[in-house]
Amino acid sequence: MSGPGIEIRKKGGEMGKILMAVDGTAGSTSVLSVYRTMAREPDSVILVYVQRPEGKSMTTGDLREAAGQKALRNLPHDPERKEVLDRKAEKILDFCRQEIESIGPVNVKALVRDGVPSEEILKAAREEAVDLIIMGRSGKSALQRLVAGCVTKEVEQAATVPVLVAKTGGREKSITYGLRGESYAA
Amino acid sequence: MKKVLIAVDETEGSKSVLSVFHNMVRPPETVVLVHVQRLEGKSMMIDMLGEAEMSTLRESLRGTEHKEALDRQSQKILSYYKKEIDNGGLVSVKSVVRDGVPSEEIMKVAQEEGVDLIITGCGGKTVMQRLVSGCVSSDLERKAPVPVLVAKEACEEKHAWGVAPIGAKI
Repeated sequence: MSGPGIEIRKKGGEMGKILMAVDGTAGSTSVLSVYRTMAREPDSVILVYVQRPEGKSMTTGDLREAAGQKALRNLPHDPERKEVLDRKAEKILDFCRQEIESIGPVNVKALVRDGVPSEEILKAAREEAVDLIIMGRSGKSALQRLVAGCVTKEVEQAATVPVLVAKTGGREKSITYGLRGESYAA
Repeated sequence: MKKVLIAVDETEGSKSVLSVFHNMVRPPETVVLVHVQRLEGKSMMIDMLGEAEMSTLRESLRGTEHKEALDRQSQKILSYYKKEIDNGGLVSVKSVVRDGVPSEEIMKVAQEEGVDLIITGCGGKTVMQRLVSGCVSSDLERKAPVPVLVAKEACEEKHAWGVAPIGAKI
């Protein structure tokens, strides 16, 4: 699977775990293609999907305090909506898991969280003691980014491990990366 | 993956790119090492200079001792990283020296060379500079057309590459 360059032997367990933050957007496709073409194969992959109980609302940034988050979770919300969210999460994570497993043998652990995305991603990174975080560029709409800043930037600044930021640049771009990866793999 | 651009500077934190390069990415065919000189020294006005002013600055520094010192420093930095990266000549390394606004120069080289990935450290600016104009890595991360891997200083200690250079292992 590795590129045509010389194989540099891994030091003991150094590329143990990669955390990949995914969502339903095209950004996640680019995360997968970056993983395929650029990252050294790890022992395990932690997939993190952060649910948005608040939907497209822009207030999660303000709900930082535990109390606000808890209040949101305890809202008498539609159980059906929760189910829809869970189904969506499962679908996305299943898709990513299959993609990753098709690339090479690796342990995949999928986590579903809810809350402020950057905080949940960082928390998961700490708990799992990952060596690298891979994430896409756009987990928020342009307007949300204006209001609350960008998830990637928050993670990149606060993380204690390296962060690999995949580029979306439209669907074609990520497909190009995928194809390139294939030709190298062959 | 064919080409990786690695941006380096004189800071200790910059060395974290090495452990990231050796341990986390697939070995590329070519590495483009880029060092951007700081003609302006520690001044924080570099972002405010236009192209014309930049070239005036370049012009006025040509042949001066300051510029020579900068060139020597660049050579020192680049040859250090080249040695750490080329793995005994098995990875081809191209060194590039630029001057100007770091994030812009790095992006320009990335485009010219058609790299697949940019690796950079997260330092490269003082706290004050970061306050004034943001940090180089987040400029890059925002504007670069290719994926950007931001190495963290902490991982340097963790992997302690300096103790046993990886190139020596084969």
